[in-house]
Amino acid sequence: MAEAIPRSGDAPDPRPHDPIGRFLYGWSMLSAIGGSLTLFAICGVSVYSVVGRWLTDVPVLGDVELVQMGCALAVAAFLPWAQMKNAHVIVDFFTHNASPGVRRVLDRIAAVLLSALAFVISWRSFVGAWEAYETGETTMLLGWPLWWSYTTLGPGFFLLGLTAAYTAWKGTLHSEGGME
Amino acid sequence: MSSVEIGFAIGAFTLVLLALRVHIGMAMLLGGSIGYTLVSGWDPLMSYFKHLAYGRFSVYDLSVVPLFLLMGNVAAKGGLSRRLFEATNAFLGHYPGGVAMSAIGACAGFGAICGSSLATAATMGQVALPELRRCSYSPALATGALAAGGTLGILIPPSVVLVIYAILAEQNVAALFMAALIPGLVAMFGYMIVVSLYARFVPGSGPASAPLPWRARVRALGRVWPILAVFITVIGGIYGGIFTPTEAAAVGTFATTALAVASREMRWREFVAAVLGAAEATAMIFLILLGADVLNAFLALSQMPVAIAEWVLASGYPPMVVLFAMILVYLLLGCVMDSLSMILLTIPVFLPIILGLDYWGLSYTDKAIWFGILALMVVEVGLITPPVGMNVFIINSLAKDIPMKETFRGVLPFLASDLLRIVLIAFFPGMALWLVHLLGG
Repeated sequence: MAEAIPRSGDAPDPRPHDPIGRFLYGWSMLSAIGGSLTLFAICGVSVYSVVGRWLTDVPVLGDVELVQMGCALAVAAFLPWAQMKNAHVIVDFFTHNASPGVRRVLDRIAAVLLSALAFVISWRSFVGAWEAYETGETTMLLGWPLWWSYTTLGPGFFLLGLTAAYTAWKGTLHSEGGME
Repeated sequence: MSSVEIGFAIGAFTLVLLALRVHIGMAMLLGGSIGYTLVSGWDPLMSYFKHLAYGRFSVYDLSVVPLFLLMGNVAAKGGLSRRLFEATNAFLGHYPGGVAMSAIGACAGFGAICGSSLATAATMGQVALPELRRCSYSPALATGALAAGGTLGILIPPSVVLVIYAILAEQNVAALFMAALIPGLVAMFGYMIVVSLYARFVPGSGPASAPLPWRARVRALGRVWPILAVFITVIGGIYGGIFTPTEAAAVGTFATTALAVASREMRWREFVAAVLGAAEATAMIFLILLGADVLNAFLALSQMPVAIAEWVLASGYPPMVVLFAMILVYLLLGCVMDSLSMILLTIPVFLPIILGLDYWGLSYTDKAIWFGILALMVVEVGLITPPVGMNVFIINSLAKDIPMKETFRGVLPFLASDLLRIVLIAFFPGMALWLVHLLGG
């Protein structure tokens, strides 16, 4: 559902065993950890800005822009990991009584769909980055080129597309949706 | 087909995709894209897609979501939840039903630093269930109280759902956090009263444990002051206008991480687990937000929400009937859907209707805030109602020997308290708005 389903600590964590799966799993995890470190960096900037404002009445220039850019980067970097953990939300109420075979087929179709849409968004984000580069748009306060932060989104969606294609091919790691 | 008709057709199409196990965000994205193409054309859609992801992910107000999720996950893995429960239990454990009341109190305390109900239920469940078992509480009361208590995670600010509502409704996040505080506390006391009545009327369901000496109580309280300090800084800072919710979340995440590391309960392994948990939850929410953005962009183009609002306003139904019809829709949707998706799907249609009707002579902003709190309360009920009560599932997965039926039975009295509170807030908007006016949000 809309939030992480925290799994109990003692359940073994299913991981893929084939080379492609292991590669994607590792890459997604690194991407997620990298995104989190970016979030901690954002925290650092915000705390610095709050303390600076409090002590000297001078806020950090463009802290809002740094937060926005870092947040966009982190979120995109998190997407593949959630797909690897089968955490993206579905409604399974109406298919609850369908046979496992039917559910598996539907889940694979859904994964193909997710993969295709992720690739489209990845492609369009790169086009957006290219246009921002060509027009030379910059952020308002820091004056940083906008294409920098646009570029950070494409890879996340590209990897999401790959992991979704992998789950469409192999089935999800938690094949029964993990909840029941 | 007129664009309004396309709107209805796409709405139905999206719901069919949802029922066929397509990811919620993708169902909305696909439905929205098709509709957008039909109304505006392919090129405008492709052009819109160029800025879709960046436009959605870089919203400053939304950046509190990953930060609060990080803070909640760190707090959960860093042993802060256990200390909260030990402290409430030191004071309440010796009353009949006291251990369950303590669990609810601890859920509320944890909710104050965590914006998610499921994380609250899971965390407090792991901490409190063993103690409830040791004191031989009835399975129904023990699991019911924890499932219901978990909803306090989102009822008590900070709350992820409220942040999303604030953005959809173009309202101030801080004002909504203020408005949610008193209803959240009312929810906590309501649940505690339910536990107390339950323990009284069902003998043996909630035995009192031996009271602790005062020295032990003070010591337990001494161990939670850092959590209180974090909460007061974060929420006090937002209420007082000292910093923005995003800055508050950043400060809170920093402080919580420092506390968890200092308490030696968080080592590298726990840290990575917390960080990956936050990543999962964040990605899940933002994929839904991305899809909802496309669907809502299309719906706005199609004029369908306006058409529905005009139809309802012209029909002349009394405002209260309209309001309770919406509450009923939420309760029904809540049986199959999660709270965030419900808010994203309904608010673009419901809010214009509410704003067009007269409720107690409230101003435009007051109405938007009041309805947000009401919607938050109602969608949270969905977490503990059958057949898809996520909180119930989570608590049940922690206590596999207790039949699901038993947990749902235990949740019933808490549902009654939920419904009563919803009716109260519907008729007394002051419960939500008083604090906002007092603090000048």
